[in-house]
Amino acid sequence: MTSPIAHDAAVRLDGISVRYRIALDPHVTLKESIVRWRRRRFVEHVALDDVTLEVAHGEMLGVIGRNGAGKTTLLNVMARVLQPTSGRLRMRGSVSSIIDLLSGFHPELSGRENAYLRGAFLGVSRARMHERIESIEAFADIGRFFDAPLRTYSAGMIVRLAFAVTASVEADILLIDEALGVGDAEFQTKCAARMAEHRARGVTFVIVSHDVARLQASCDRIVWLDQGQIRALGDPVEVVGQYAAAQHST
Amino acid sequence: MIEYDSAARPPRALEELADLRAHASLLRALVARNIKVRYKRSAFGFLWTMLNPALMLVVVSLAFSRAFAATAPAYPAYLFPGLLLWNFFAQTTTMSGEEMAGSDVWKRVRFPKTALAISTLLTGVFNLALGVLPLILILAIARRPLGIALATLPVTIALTAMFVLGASLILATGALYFADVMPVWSMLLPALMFTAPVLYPAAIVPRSVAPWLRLNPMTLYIEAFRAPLYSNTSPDAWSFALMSAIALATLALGWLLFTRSADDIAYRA
Repeated sequence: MTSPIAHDAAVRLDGISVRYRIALDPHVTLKESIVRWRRRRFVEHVALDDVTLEVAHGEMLGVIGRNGAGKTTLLNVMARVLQPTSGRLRMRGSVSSIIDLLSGFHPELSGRENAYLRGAFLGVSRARMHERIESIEAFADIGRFFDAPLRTYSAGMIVRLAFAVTASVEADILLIDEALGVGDAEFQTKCAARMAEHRARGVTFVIVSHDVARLQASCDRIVWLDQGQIRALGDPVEVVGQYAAAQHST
Repeated sequence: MIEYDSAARPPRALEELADLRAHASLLRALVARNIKVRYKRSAFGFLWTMLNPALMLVVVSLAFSRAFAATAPAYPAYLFPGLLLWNFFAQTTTMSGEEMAGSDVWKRVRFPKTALAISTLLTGVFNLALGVLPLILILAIARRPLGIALATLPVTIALTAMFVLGASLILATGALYFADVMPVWSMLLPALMFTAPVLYPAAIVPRSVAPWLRLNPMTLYIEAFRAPLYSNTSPDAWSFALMSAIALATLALGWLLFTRSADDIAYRA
C-alpha cells in the first residue's frame, strides 16, 4: 500500500493520524473545569489512523468512503486547517481548498465586497482580485445581485458566488469537498469546464465526493477510506468495484 | 514553489508572522469589512460611534461636574479622553474575544488567526481617531490650552494599542477553551473601569488606595493619553518607558499563548 514516494509528489502524508479526545462529560466553562477537574473522562476517537499517501503533481485523486470514514478530515489536514496528532505532512505548491463555501462571507456586504473578502482569506492579493473581479462576476452570473447585500441572496446564488471566487484562485493544489453540491446542472457544467482548465494547467486535485461514478470517470486514482484507514488505493475502476462490493455485502 | 513540511515548522509565534505577511491583503479586507458593516445600515454613519461616548459624557458630567470642580476643573474635558480610551480598550477586547470564540472560519480556511484580533484592533484605532479629532476641535473651541504635547498622542495610542492587542489575545485564548470567559469579562469590565481614573480624578482617591490603582495598566495609558488633552502636558519619560515595557510584555505573552494554542482550536468542536 505504501508505494515508494516520488520526489516530485505534490502532497505526501507519512503516517498521518488525527485523534480527537472527546470528553464524556464535556467541560465547557472555566467554572466547571475548576470544580470538576479530577473527574474528567475521555474517549478517544481516531479520525485518521496512520495514513500514508502521496499525490503526484497534476494528478486527480478521488477520495471515497462512508460518512465518518475520515474523508473530510483528510482534506482538512492537507488544507492545514487541522494539525494532525502525529505523522508528517509535506506539500509542494500553493494550496487552495473548497472545503466549505460560506465561511468568511458577511451577510451585510455585497457580492463584490464578499468576493474581495473571501479572496483575502484565501491569500489572494487585492491587486490580483482587481484583475479577477470581472471574470468572477461573469462566472457567478447572478446579475444585479452581485452588488446587493448577501442577505438578499438565495442559497443557490450564495453557492455560485462562493464557487466563482474559489474557482478563480490559481493554486497548484486544489482540495475540493464535493459533498457540498454546487448549484444547478448548467452551473455544474461550467464548474466542470473550469476544473478541466485547471487540470490542463497541471493543477493537482484531491476531491472528496459521494458521486462515486463521477469520480471513477474523472480521477487518475481513487483512495477508499474506511474508519480512518486506507482500505484500497489505486485504479479507479478497481477501487470503486471493491467499494461497491463491500457496500452490498453489508 | 511554496513548500511545506510539518517536520520542519518554525516556532508557531514566528510562523504566524510569516503567515500574516503572506495574507497581506487580509488585514485590510477585514478592517474594511468591520467599518463597512458598522456603518452600512445606519443613516447617521459614524455619528453612532460618537453617540455612546457623547451620551456618557453628558450624563456623567451632569452628575459629577460640581463634585469634582475643585480636583478636576472643566470636568467634561477631563472625562472625555478617559472615556474614549477606556471604550477603545473595552470594545476591542470584547469584540476580539467574541469574534475569535464565535468564528469557525479557521476550521475551513487556512489563514493567520491573529488577523482577526489585529483587524479588530485596527478598527478600534480608527474609531478612536474618529473620536479624538472632534475632541481636539471641541477643546480648541472651548479655549482649553492645547500645544505641542499633542504630538505625544500617536505614541501613546500606539503603545496602548500594543497593550490592548496583547490583552485581546490572552482573553481570546481563554475564550477559545472556555465558554464563560467572555461573559465573565463583560461582567468584570465595568468594575475594572472604576479601578482606573476614568470617571474620577486620581487625586480624590485616598492615599492608602492610590497605589492599587496602578495595578490596572489602563491607569497608566489613560493618564498619558489625557495629559496633553486636558492639561497640555506631556507624559514624562518614565511613563513612556513603563508603558512600553507593559505593552511589549503583554503583547509578547498574548502572542505566544495564542499562537501556541491556535493549532488545538480545530480540535475543539
